Amino acid sequence: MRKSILIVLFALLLPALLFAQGSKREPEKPAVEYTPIGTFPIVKEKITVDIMVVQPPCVEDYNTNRFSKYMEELTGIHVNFIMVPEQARQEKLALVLASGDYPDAFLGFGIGTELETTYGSQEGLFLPLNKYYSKEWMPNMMKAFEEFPGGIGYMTNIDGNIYSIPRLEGCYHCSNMAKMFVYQPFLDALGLKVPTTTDEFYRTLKAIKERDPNGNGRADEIPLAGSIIGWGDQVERFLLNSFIYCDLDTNINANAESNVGFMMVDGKVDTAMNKDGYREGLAYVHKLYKEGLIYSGSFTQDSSQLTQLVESSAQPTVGFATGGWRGQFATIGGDRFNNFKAIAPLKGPKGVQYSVVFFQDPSMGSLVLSSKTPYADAIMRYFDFMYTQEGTLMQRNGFQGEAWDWAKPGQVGLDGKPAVWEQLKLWNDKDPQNDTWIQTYASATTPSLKNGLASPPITPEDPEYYLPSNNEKTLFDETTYLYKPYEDVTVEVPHLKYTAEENEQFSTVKRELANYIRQSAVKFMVGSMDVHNDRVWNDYVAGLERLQMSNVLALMQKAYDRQYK
Amino acid sequence: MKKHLASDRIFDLLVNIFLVFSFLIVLYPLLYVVSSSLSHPTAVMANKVWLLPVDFDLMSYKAVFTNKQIGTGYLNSLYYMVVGTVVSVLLTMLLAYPLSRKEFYGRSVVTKFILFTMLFSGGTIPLYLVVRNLGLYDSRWSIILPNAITVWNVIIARTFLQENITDELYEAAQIDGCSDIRFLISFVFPLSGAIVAVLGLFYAVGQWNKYFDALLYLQNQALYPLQIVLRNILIINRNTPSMTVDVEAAIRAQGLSETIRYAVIVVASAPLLLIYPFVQRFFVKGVMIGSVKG
Repeated sequence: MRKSILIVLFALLLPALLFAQGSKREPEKPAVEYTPIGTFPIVKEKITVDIMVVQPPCVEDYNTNRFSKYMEELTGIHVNFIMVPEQARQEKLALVLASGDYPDAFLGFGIGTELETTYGSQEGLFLPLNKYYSKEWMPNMMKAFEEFPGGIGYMTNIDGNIYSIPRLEGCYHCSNMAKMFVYQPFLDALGLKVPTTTDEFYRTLKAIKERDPNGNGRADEIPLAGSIIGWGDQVERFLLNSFIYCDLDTNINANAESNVGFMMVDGKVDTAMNKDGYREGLAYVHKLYKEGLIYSGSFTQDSSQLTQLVESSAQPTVGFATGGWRGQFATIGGDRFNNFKAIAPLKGPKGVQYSVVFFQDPSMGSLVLSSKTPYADAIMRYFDFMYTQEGTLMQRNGFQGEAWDWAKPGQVGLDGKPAVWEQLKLWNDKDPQNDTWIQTYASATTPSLKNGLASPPITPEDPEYYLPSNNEKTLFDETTYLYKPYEDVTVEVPHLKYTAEENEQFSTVKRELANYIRQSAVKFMVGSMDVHNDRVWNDYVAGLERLQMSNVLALMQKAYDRQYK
Repeated sequence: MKKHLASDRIFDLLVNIFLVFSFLIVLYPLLYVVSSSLSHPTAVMANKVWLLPVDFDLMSYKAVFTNKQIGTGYLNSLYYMVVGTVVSVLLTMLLAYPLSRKEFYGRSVVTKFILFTMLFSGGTIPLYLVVRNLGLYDSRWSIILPNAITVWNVIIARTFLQENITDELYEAAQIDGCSDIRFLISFVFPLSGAIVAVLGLFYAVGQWNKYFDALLYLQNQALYPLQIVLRNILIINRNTPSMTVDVEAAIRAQGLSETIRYAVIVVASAPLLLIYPFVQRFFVKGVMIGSVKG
């Protein structure tokens, strides 16, 4: 018996012994001759670098892509793209880094702070890029950063190093994406004005429910509907802000770090989750829910179900709907889509009236370099071009003269200032193509570029204003006139960074706390927990403490002081 | 006696009603998927489809079949399925047969080692490293060889062989001067048609559905199986709130995101649904064999 075990063990070990011989070659350092910084091509003799890139389905092949070819001609750098399907990026990154055989750079992996801390600070697999964050090395990127104040601090890891270059995207209307829309024909039919306070809002909902604005003789109207999963779709995120500033995202699967109801009060990190204002807000939502003014599925469905709700009936039934834009709940370009109009945040009984702030932070980890790469200078100069307006537009939209062109004199941008560029071909990520990279990983869609898109002069009185072709303009105007006046960037907690030990110690705690807060919020709103009962409320507040709310706040304060003081 | 017969009849009737009812419950989702895939996207979005297609439309199939990779994806998946199944069945039989022979020295130890892998595995990263260092990475073999043998199937096959290839048969063959290899080829394989069919179906389904292995071990797009291609088609037709978009494409995608998933289900499951009836008659016989010792 013992002998047989030995034989089997040996048989099992044999392959291991054989294959353990595979040696790893150290790559010899190639001599690269560079041209002066700021000139093209970048290298005197052609070099080849390996970049692993996350491939969106709308790009057929990065290696034969027309924009890749253009870049190769411009810079003299041949990039061998190793493509990874979008769905496998996390696993693939972990596997490739574990195997020890990795490319010069990783593009589009969206490596966040935690992975950066693990692979960068602790294991030293990523190259610190601090040297390149200078006007001398990457003038275009540094220029783009001027439009993102605090952006470089955001990119810096807690160890003082910067491990990646970002995608800079200034999505203006996304910064106030918790919007509410009203089906204007209902208000017209009832002879009502757009509600401006929570009381008026309540009366308007009641009127929609009771006075049959669609005129079909049946009480089939749904005064207010939203969904718990979907971009800006939650009804309470709009409503609670008439009582207290509250960025809470009640989707249980949302990130446990942000949108958990934290806020800044006089420079101190605090939470709205145990305040009286929050309780009053929940009570208000519960009142609407109890009286059937909020569609009962709003706390369970996703945005495609919400769209079905808005679109499925023969006559329109939904009065108010929440979403980041009208496409979240209506068929784009349909009749109902064209008739929904945004409304401003409501004024609460105590005069509170906020629009939730969503910081447009740089996307970290767009391009990360391997610490072993001999071509760091070349890669960084190659990507610096992407941060020019031209580079961004070519990467995203296509070639000048075909997909876009510089604005002609007299053309006006979205913001009413002279335009920067005009779009000749609409951006489309739905059909596979091989002209551009479509998704921009390292680029600068700065606010000035985004809002500098030439747009026909059009006003809300124009019947074409609400058509999808003017979507960009509509969203810009709605954001500017209805939401920006009510935002206060100082109450939202900025992005905080933690050390590896802090992450380890607190990630479970934060997850549990966030789950508790999110579940309780929905229970209060639908009434399975009685928001008016003091005992229930005090139990809930005690539950926050039991789940270490004050420790989390202290940790956040520590991180805040470390970064912003 | 007559009374008894009547109650029998009622019982039969009830059983039949129950079975028809169960059949309808199973059939309905399938029918719903097919109908939805053949309907116009707006009808699906408005929840109008419940049984038969509404506003018959082949748009979603068009979106699937105009994809450039769908052809290679289909061929690749067929290749992985056919070759993978042959390799897996062969290896499984070659492993199961010795384990079924009592005179095989140390077979209980070997069995224990095999069972061990059923409960514990090295995890994704070591497996990736093995695949890479064996030079299988980014080749068709990386889909076929890792996990070619499933322990569960080995056990089924071993039990089957133990029951059906009796010692008497072996002895009789040996007396006639039959070698071990000859016995394997001339007796064991011909007598195990049922189990080979069952193993074949198990492995074929497994290979056809393979998705994650392909994501990890393949890099060359020309080698992607159908499942990855279909997944890409789903992703590209997601309804994403993106700006300055081609409105027409966005409208199309908003609708297609509803119907295309049904079309993809049909496209992906059709080949297996076609083979299934032909293998099914072996199926119950093969899996159940060995469940009763006697």
